[in-house]
Amino acid sequence: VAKLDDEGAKATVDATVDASGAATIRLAGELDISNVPDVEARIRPTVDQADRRVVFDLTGLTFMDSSGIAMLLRTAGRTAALEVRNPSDTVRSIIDATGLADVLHLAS
Amino acid sequence: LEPNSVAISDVEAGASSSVAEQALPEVIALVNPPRRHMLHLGTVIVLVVGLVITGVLTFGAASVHQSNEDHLLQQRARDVAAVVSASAPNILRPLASAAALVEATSARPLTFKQLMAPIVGNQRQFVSASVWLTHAKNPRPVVTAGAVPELTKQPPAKIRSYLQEAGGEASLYIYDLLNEGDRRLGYAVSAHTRKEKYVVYAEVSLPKDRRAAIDQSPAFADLGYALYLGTTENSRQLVASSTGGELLHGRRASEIIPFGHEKLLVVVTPHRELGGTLLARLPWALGAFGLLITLAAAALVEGLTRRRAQAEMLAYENAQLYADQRSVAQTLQHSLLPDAFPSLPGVDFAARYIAGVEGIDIGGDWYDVVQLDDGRLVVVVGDVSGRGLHAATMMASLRYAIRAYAVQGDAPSDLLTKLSRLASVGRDGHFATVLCGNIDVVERRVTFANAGHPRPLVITGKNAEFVSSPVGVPVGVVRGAQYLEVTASLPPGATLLMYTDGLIERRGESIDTGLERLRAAAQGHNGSLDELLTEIVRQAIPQGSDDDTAILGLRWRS
Repeated sequence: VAKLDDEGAKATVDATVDASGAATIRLAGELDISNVPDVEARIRPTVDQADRRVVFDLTGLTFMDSSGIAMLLRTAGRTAALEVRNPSDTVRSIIDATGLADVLHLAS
Repeated sequence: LEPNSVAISDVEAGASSSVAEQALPEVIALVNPPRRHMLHLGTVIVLVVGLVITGVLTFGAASVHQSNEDHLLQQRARDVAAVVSASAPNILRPLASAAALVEATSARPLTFKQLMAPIVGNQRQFVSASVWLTHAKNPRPVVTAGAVPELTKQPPAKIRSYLQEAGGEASLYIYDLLNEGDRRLGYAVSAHTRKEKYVVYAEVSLPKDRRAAIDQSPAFADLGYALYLGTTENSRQLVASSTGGELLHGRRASEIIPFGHEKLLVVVTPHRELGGTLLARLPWALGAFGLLITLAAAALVEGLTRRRAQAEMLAYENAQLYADQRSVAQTLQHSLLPDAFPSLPGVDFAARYIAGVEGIDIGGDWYDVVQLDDGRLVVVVGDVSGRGLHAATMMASLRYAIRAYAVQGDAPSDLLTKLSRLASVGRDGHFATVLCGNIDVVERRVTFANAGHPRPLVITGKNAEFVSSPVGVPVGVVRGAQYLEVTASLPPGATLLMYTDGLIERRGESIDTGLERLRAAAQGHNGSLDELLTEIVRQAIPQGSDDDTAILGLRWRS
């Protein structure tokens, strides 16, 4: 678990790839423009290593701004399939408001 | 009809200056012009206090030492006086014996000479001893032992007067011959028979150089002394001293000693510190130590003060740099936003751009109004994700692309689909939410298409409602994405508000809460469109927002 502690938001990242080649990335804390570059650099090797789908588990992520959404979208562009799970109400409302629930394969 | 452009530029100028004013006062409070060559006030205070304390301690120790030395010296003067007093009986005793002999033998010469022989002569106690009649007209010694008395060389009247006085005196009587050729002191005691009154007289020779040690005892080795006949320090009355002259310098103490019918004055001066060197050096040690401590403390305070001043200067420069960069970003931001709105009868426009409170990067929010040839209006509010020059560049290209499509007469949904082919989050790293409205000013209707953007708010009378437009994906996510349209009516007096998510998004709360706060702030407001926007900003983001916020308002005049 890497603690990414920028001046702004604080997030923890836990990225794993299982034997089948599917990656699970657990994000917790807050994700905004101040720490997105660090978080994205941290998950990049896992994303590149995954040859099947990438699952973002957002349990414990309390806030995500449009920079965070952009990161998810950029990741989606680099993977075969992307899925977002367990967003908090706040994060869910942000994803819903931007009309991206389907694009991010967010189970309702 | 007044042109709206004036109001808009005022609004923007106001928004931008208020941001600058918020940032600068804290910065200016830090300004403390560094004094590079002067000592700081704190250092001067430490120096002054340190020197005062050192001075007081040194002065106190010196005073204690002084008074101790004075006390000890006075004690030594009393010791010397006691030694001198003790010598008086040595003179009186042989003279008293001689007087008894003279009384018994009526001054028989041979007997007197025999008695005095062991103590009169060179290197003996007396140089001369003699017997005189007190009332002789021509005063001559009746009998003399040893040298001729110096007294005989005095004028007869003086001798007579002296002999008479000595004859009437019970104790030792002294004659001052200190300033004669052979320096002597004369001592006399009276001796009365039934027939005659005699005076037994003896002279002591004093050293010519007037030097003498008080006592051979080493107890007095640390003292200088001077002995005077009388009670004043008159050099003609100096009997003897350790130096051969008067004691003119240094610490002195004196004692008066009764001596026969006269008095002696003894003055002493120390050759060294009587109380020991430790006490003598204490004031100097305290002074030097205090001075060292004071200088060290002052140097420390000065060093710390300078370091703090440097840190403050650095903080000030950083804050200045930050403010400068922020100001550059804001200037660039405003240059990318419209500086005037179309002038249209019966329509008011107002807008706000509030930079996010964090960071110095330029934001990607924008708003725009395009007037078409057929009188229709295209209104747009958009938000490119992220910040920085890249986001701003994308914002500018999207804004001008929309203007081009709008002028071609594209409906909002087609316009957004075309836009989705221009941008790509995979390629550009950013996506954009865009709300595009096409306003029919005659029918007073607005048709919206929405690419992932917060819904517009329509205020009619006391009622404020969000337009429930279907939300499509943001621009840049799905190439050639399709968008649905929704049409809402804008009755006379109605207000349309479009805005970016900075106005409604707060950490730790759902967007729905922010939307409701906005609706409540907008509902029932009676003021002008401009006042409404000010009030909404005040209620929705009282402390500012992390994110940039753009608001565009349009109101029909009823």
